[in-house]
Amino acid sequence: MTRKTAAMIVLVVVLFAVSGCWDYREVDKLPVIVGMAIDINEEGKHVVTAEMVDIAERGKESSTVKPRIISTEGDTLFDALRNAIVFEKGRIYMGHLEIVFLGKSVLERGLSEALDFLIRDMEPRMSIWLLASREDTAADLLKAKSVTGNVRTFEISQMIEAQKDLAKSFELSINDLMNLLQCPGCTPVIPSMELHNTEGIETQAMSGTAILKNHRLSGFIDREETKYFCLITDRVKGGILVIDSEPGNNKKGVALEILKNKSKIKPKLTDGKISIEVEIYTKVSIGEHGSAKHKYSEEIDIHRKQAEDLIRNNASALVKKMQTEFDADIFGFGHKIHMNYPDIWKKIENNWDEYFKTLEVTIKPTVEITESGLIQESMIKGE
Amino acid sequence: MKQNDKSRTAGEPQKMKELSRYSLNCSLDQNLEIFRQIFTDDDTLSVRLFKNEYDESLKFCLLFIDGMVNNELINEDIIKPVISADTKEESEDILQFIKDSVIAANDVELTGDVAKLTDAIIRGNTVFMAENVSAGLIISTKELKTRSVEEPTSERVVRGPREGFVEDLMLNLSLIRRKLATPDLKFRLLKLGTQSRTNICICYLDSTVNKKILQEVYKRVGGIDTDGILDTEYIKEYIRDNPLSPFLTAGSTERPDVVAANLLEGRIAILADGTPVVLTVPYVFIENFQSSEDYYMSFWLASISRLLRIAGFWISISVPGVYTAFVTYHQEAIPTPLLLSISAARQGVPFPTIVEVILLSIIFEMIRDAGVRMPSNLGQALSIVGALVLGSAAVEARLVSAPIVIIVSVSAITGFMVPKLISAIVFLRPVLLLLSAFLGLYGYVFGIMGILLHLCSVSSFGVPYMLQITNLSLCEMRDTAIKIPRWYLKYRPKIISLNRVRQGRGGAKL
Repeated sequence: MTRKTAAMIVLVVVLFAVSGCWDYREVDKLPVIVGMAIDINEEGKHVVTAEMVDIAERGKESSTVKPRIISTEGDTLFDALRNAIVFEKGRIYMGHLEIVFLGKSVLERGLSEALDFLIRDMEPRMSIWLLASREDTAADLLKAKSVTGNVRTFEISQMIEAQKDLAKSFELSINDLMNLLQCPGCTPVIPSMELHNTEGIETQAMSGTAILKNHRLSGFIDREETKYFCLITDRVKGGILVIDSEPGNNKKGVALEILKNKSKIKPKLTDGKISIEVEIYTKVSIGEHGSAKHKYSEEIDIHRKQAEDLIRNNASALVKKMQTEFDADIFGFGHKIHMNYPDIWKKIENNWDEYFKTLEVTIKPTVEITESGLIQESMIKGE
Repeated sequence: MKQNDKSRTAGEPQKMKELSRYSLNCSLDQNLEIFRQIFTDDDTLSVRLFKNEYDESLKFCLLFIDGMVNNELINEDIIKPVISADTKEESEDILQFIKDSVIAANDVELTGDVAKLTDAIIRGNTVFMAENVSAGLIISTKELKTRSVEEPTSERVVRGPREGFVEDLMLNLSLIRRKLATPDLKFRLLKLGTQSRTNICICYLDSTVNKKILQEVYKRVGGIDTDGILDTEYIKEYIRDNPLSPFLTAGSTERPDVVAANLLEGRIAILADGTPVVLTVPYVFIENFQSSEDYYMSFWLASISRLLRIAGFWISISVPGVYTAFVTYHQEAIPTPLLLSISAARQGVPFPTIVEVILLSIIFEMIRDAGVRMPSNLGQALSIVGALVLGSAAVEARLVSAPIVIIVSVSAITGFMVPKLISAIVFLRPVLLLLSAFLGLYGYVFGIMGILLHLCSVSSFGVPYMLQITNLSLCEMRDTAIKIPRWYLKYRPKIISLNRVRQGRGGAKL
């Protein structure tokens, strides 16, 4: 081996050894946080409360994950997180952050302050679920105990993903919110959470939707209204529609399970005036029918009409509420107009808020009842 | 077989050259003295002097080496007839007479060349000399003890022929000949090694072999100049392309059926006396993943096994490196529950991940190396110590974390799937591991790129090493990573053989 090749080998090895390793971090040295709540206190400082997972030694062989809540504050979100090193073993690691709770104080001051760091920094994922706190502070929400004693964030994360079977809330990641913020004619919404008393234990529960008019919190709608919001915006994959057992008797007795739903927002142009038509196609099955006397084949049409009315009435009411109370186009009607009639959108873009108030919206539901389980008629005969 | 005529000695050894200064004369005593000088300090040389019973003046002498000859043959078919032969009328050309009419042996040669006679004695033949004649007879009396033909332990199969080569060259050649009964099968013998003077045989099918490759083999084998060839691996190291590459560029096998199949594809086999391992050239990358058994079982199973072996190779070299890269650089790419369980397993382990992996890999290689050369009953004890004591005790004592044990085991098990690539695996695994440990996944990707570039640059006797893989031709891919039914294999691999049609349309179900 000549001196030259020897020098080459040494140089290559040194090159790797010296330039490599700069971001080497042992996995057990990482302070991993999985949930985070952001608030702003009276002094205007950012308070970050985070759920951290510690590895708890249990016995000799098995060790388990144990949640721990930490709280830190600073002038900005980034500052607050870095300040955690005062008492923590290192830089807070956000690569596995799953949920961020945004406190009322943060939402009232505007979204950009809270979101900028989460989007700009490389560690947090774009798939983090965002939740708005309906309690006074987001920290209260995060601190609530888990019923099972496990890491609550993981449970909430599963809970959010399971909402598609209920449709009273929906999933929203940072990525989704960014899309909403960038789309012209959309009012951003964030699913909200509140504390809920389950057998004496205060725990977190989905509670509807926060509406962020002009990127600032302007109010909440409840779970039932959220369901119709989801129906209009085609976010429904499941859920229950409850109708009266007989038309007009005001006895809620029939539960229809949504099997499939497809909604379409269609802007219509008639005589230079824009109107919106929402087509909701829902395929349901009869999941429950408490009434003693019924016959599937005879009542199917009646129930279908009832369900259509239910959807039409509630969805229209929600639209009306948005037009009158909130002035917020949370459904993205403006966005649809922008896509279908860009010329007209250019004219109405600047005073879209005013335009939205008087926008004519028609809900056109189509319900199809395809099955009734294994039961064709009432179990109890001759009542 | 008269080997001497056909031999093409690379370099006649020094000692054998010296023999040319001796020449036989008419005195038997002086001739014996010559051989005693040649075999100075060699007590195994036997000299048997005897006389003819009719003519007392006719003195004869037999020279042979104890233990290498068939005693019965010498007693019954040489000494007995010569003693009792009536030689009175033939006194003028006594040796020719004895060769033609007395000795009952199948191979007798008359020569006066001392070097030839010496060579014959060394190889177990008997030299017969007579008074007043300046020549000798070489009588084939060779009887060497050989191992019986058994299944080779390194290449066991569940289905298929179970015979394996032995140490005797001629027996090995007969095993090949039995598989391919055609005069098209050629055996060229030569001698290699100035001291060992080992018989080498280059074997090929004349009509399918690529003559250029054959010329190249002769050239390279002829160029070997060394003192001893004890195994074909000696030859392999001299003749193979890219001798520094961890990937083999010449194949070796102990199975006659594998050699026969290689010959049928136009490859060349190189056999050496004294070893059951046969070289086959050219050798391409995909052959590392092919097993002779693939051809003796269902093509479905064969194809899946091959794909698994290919996956096994890449997994074996990658797993420690990829694990290290993910755990120390790319924690965000690990699913959260897995990250937490790895983190939990690492609690209390004093070493960094990279040290753990290197430590355990070295221990594994040591256990493997110790186990290979152990007698089988001791080897079992070793594996128990290795697996149970070291593995679980190390985890319990928090010397290493449990995932590392799994990683090293997976990499070891998958490595055993491709025994032909073991040298590449043992070398590349730590290289990829270190690259990943310094540079994360970047390093790993660099390493894999390097390996692929290297593989594409290697060739074996003029045939690209990645033959059939870089070439996206359906016809060429029929017997590579997958194996399709035999009736579709109409052609031999391109480049290796120029005579490509393997089977006629009559036999093909196309």
